[in-house]
Amino acid sequence: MGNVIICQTQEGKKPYIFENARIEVYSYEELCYYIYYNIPMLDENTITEKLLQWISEELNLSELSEKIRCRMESQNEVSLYQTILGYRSYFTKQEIEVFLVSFEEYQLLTPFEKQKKKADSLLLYKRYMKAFHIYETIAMQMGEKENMDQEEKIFLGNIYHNMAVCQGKNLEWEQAKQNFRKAYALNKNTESLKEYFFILKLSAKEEEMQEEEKKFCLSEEFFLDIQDEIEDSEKEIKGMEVYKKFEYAIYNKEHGKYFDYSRRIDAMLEQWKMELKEQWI
Amino acid sequence: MNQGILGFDIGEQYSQAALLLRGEKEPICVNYNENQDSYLLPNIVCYKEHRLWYSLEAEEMLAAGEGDRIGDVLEYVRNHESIVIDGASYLYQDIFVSLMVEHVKKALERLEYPPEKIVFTLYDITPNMLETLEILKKEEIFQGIEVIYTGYQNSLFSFALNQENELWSSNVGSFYYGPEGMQYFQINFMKRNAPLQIQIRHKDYGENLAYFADEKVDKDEVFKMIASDAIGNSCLSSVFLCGLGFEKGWAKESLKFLCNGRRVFLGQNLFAFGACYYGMEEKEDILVDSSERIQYDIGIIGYDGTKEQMVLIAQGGKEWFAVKGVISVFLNDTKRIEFIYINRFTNEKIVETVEVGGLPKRPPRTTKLELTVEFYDKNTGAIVIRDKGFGKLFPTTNKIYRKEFTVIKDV
Repeated sequence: MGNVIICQTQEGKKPYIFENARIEVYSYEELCYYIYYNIPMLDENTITEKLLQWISEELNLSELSEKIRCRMESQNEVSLYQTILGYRSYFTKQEIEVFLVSFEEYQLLTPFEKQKKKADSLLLYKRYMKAFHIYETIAMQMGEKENMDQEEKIFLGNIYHNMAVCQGKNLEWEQAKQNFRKAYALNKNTESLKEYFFILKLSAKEEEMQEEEKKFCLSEEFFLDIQDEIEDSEKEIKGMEVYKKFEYAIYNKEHGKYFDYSRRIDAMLEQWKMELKEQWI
Repeated sequence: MNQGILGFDIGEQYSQAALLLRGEKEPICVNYNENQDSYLLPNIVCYKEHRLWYSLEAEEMLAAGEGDRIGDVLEYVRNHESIVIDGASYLYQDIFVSLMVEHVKKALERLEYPPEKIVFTLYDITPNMLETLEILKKEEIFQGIEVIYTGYQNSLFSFALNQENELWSSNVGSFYYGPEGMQYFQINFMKRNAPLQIQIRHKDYGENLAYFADEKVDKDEVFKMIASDAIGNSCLSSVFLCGLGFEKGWAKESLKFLCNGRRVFLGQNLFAFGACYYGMEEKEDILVDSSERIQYDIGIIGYDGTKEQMVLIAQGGKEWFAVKGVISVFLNDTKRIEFIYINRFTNEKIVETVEVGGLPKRPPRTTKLELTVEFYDKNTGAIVIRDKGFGKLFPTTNKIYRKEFTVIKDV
């Protein structure tokens, strides 16, 4: 495949929305991308009559929608995805082969592994509450098992880690801290330990932090890494849109423009409320 | 219902129309009264009683000593100017559009049916004139009628190709004597098998023989020298003389010179007739090399699903305003795009690599770029690159890049 690929399809005016992740796609290529990189999100409700209508009317690809409709009768889910991916050359034949292998491998995973992958995808798409709910269910069910082997402990540790990430994204510091602690206890992964200390640092619990430092006997290098990462994050935040909006709001307040200050803060709060709502959709 | 094609020659001082019905070999001039000579519509505008008057009515008014003349409308349109009359400002562009609408109304009144297509032809289509023609096209009078426009060179070669074969058995010359002064066009047939290859060469003798030449100038003598210089050693089977500057029959010795071994025709409707033929022609594969046309096809090296090859964005061989195109591409782990310009006559290729910087890092094939080719005039244009992102998965930055280019013309 070349470095510059000619686009041979049209974009739809209206998107198609995958309800489970609230992902909108506007073109054939975006549809392929979503299918290819989100195997855990695919299920028997992915290819619907509504999707076929969208492919036919918005993308003007009635031939493709007909091909899929014919294959639906065979009820072989993977062949439907193969039909979509192979219709144009957005993915090569070799890449489609890789997808088919990955799809087959996914079917062989345990139910917990499948659920985790699904939750990981939701986490990636910022559906933190939905992801958390799945992780929590896995943790509860696995927690009932006695005599877990090492692999299972690591798996469960990773579940707690991701639960903590979801909570941290929603500013639930105390709960996130607890779960990072649990995660490290199970998976012994320094990433979980780092995140634990990040939370302590961000929640300004200096005393607790010092006590924990002694317990874990950590090197100075470890804390220097944490400090570096915090500083990098601070720089990154200052480039973000939300930070600039906040700066403008503070500027307004400092210059006595309270109406503008309130308006800006209200707009930011509305945005966060909407993002929080979307996590559950 | 045989609607036909209406060719409309917009001269500097006069406009004229001709109609070519389907199935007919030759167009007929549209006349405005029973006098067969009244085929010219004056490009005259005058102001009286708080309004503007156009065309024949304006000419009558001024002849009767009434109203104030507004002159040189076409020239001022080209320069995007305006005029203040009785405290109100009028754009020449708007005046021109109203004038043309009046002309077209008069022409349509003389027809049995409205034409299927109107082809406007002008000496030179500049960017300002193009903008004005695009506004004109949207007028209500053109509803249901296809409107296109073209330069004199295209009308000329369309005219020549529709004459008897013996008239273009060799090359064809044309002298146009209008407000721009004496102009010479020569149509050289480079190749007569499909695809037909034509070269149109233009020489400007406006400085040698201006339209409003001094009375002391011996026009006949000067024109004879111009004709000798223009034709040189070329073998011409026919020569067409056109333009109001040839009226009054001053060309005598010069005509004798031209008629030596050639057939010579004098008439005012060459471009109007040519415009009809231009509108009627099925667009076969004809390669035309002229100063009005862009010689290059412009594309990129891209993967079209089967292999990497040149993919066209805009096809050349047309007048500059008709050469445009747009394609979309995905970048696959690269920031570079190879643009390729191919000369349609020589097949010479020029490759230029453009690096699209400043875009966020996205996975392969999730940066969609829209590539547009547009020309500003017959010499310069640009490739415009727009970042379209990848829907909401990887949103666009709305960044636009412009890669300008100048067309190299063979002399």
